[in-house]
Amino acid sequence: MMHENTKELGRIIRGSISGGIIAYLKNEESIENYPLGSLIAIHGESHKYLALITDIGIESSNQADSLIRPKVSEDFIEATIDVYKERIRNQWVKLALIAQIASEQPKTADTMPSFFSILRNVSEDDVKKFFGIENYKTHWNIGTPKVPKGLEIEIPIDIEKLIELSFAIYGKSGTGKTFLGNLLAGYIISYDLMKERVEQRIKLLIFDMHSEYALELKDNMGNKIANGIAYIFRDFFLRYTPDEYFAKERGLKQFKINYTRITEADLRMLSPIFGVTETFLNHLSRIKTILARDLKLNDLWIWGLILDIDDEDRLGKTNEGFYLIEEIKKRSNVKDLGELREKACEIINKKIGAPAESSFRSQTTKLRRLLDYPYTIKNEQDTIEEIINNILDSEGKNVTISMGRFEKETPLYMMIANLLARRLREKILEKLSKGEALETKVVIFLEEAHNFLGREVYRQSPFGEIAREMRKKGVITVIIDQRPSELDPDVIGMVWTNFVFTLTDTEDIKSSLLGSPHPELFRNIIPNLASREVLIYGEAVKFPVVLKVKDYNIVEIFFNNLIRKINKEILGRRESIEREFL
Amino acid sequence: MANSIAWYALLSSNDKAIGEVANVKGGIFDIYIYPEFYPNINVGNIIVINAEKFKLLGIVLKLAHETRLGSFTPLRKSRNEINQTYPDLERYHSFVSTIVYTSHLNLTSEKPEIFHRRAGMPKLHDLAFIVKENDLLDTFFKPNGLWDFSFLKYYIKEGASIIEVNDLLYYHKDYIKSKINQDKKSFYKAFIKALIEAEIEDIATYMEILEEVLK
Repeated sequence: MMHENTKELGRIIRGSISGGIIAYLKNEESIENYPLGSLIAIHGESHKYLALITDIGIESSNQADSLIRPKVSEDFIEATIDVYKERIRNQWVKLALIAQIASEQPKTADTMPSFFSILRNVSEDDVKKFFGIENYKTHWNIGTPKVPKGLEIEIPIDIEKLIELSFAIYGKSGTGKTFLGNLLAGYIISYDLMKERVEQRIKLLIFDMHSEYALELKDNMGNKIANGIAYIFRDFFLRYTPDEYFAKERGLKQFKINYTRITEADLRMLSPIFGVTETFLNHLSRIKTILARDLKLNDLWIWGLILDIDDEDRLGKTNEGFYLIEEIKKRSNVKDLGELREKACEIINKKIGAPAESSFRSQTTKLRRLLDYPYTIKNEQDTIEEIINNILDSEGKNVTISMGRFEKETPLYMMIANLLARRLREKILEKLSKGEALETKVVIFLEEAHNFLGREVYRQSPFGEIAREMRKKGVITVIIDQRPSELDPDVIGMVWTNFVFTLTDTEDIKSSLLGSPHPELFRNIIPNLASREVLIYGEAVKFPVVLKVKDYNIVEIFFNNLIRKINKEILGRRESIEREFL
Repeated sequence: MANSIAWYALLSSNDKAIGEVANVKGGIFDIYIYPEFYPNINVGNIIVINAEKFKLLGIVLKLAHETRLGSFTPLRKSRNEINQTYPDLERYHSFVSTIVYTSHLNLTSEKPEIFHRRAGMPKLHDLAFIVKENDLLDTFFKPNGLWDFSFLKYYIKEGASIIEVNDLLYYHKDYIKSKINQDKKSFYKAFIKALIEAEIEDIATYMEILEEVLK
């Protein structure tokens, strides 16, 4: 029997590199074995090529049309179909050339296979030659390539190149973005732990909207499938959540926003989230001065914006709230919060004018949502600072911020992320301006990235600034989104490696392929990807390829073994130090 | 399958000849039919011509019957009355069968072989015989023991429509029926292959007439 890899599957008939190449399959081949996105080898006269199937079809003469009509026996129909298959139908595949190899190293295809070149299945050897092999240092297997007939060999991704610059994971909900995100996060940590020479440690900052990094990955019904990467590597992570109950139940650290540390600039940045008007923002600076100086609230000025008489009972139930109200009353010399607000209105009216007072009264109600979020006023407590210190310290830990029961509370998610990003940027710039080198490379995983890097907000958002300014300073962004078309084109341009799961919206598909070598040809592949199938192109993989992402449960076992090995090494080292010095 | 002797037995008797070649024009031959055989000739008959080198085979496409004198005189009589009044009338008539040249028979080897392609041309007056015997038909329809309708491409290209193909099938239906059960699928496949080669577009109608004939 002829070996599957040496068997001729078809021949190149016509086409071009830019427009795609048409190959006719041999009659005995079933077109049903040639899924879109499959990898296939072309044996030319002097080169071997790799190509992706970007379209598939059948053509036949008009003679075939009548076959659906005749009133004849099934035997006759079957016999006729057999003949038609041999004589009057062609099965074709359209191919996008992705790579070629002659005697030299594989490279991007810049020649065209000659007429009648032979189509064959890719072999294990082909995959190794073109895509390299896993070495548990820089190269880590990510999945098996899609081929016409199963091939149990995996393709590695170059983690070193992956984290050189930003990368993106696009795909509709439920396609496997989070699994891949966890897998890549695990590989980045493993790469960092296995590095022989540590010049700059890598720290992950994961904005984990659905708590699938910090705790567990779930199926579409909400059932647990596997442990999240930060749970598996929990000794290497600080896992936060703004949800108090969630923190207690699941053993996470509570994330509290210290409102006394919120600046006017922070508030301006957050204003689109709360929907306050431009007029209010125009007066904000003077309103802040009135609250901080005239009413003597100082660092508690923000409370002057949001508190009213009704809040006394509500806040007074906790020690922290009671202390806050008493402190406010003491500082501004008022008997209750109602009087505070009236006083503020009176001064604003007098000093800025009636329109400002009116704006203050109406717009500050929009800010009252802040009262629903986890906050603190204790000066010493500042989660944001704690996180930033950790991820910028080579001895620090990676961080996840999981939203817990706030997972649908986009404004809170955005507020936390933006506050963190803004402070992170400031801190990095401060270090750099002092001539200090960054001890760590920070990789920020950002789910629902369009909220921060969308066309509307990109220019103002701190993440936009990080994406623009920080990428060459050691902070890279992992853009995770189901609507790439809503991202600013500049952001897409900054992405060096793309992982594209299935998308159906034409604009999303177009955006997801902006940096690909064959956007027109690849367009057909994206909407037809199955669950866990992903098109990868860019720096971290040698050539574009569609593959089925590794089973995460298997990777979890690998990660657990790795952790055991590392812990054993650490214990061994500790024992040897103890033996030597004690 | 017939051996060469069966073919020689047919071709060696001038009495069995149904006519002779009267005109050759490309792949179309006109056969002058001896008057006594005229009633026995039908569209779709397979005719073998005893040419010098190969024995050439064709299929009757049309039949013609006309006066040799160039003018026609009405008689207003029944056929019986005509036969009684003018017993030699048919000597003044011409019976012509137009056949399409489709195949040739090689009798030089021990086993006679028919090839559904053309080889050589007949000469005028070469004798023509009708192929009716089942073992001879085997050689025509199943050369090498396999169904082969590739002669249809010549027949159709030279003018046979679905009507003539229907006649061909109908005329040989008993033979086909007696053989088809042995290998129905390959029979169908051979028929369809031939239609594709003949560039027939409405294959479905041909399929239907074949099934109808074979009922």
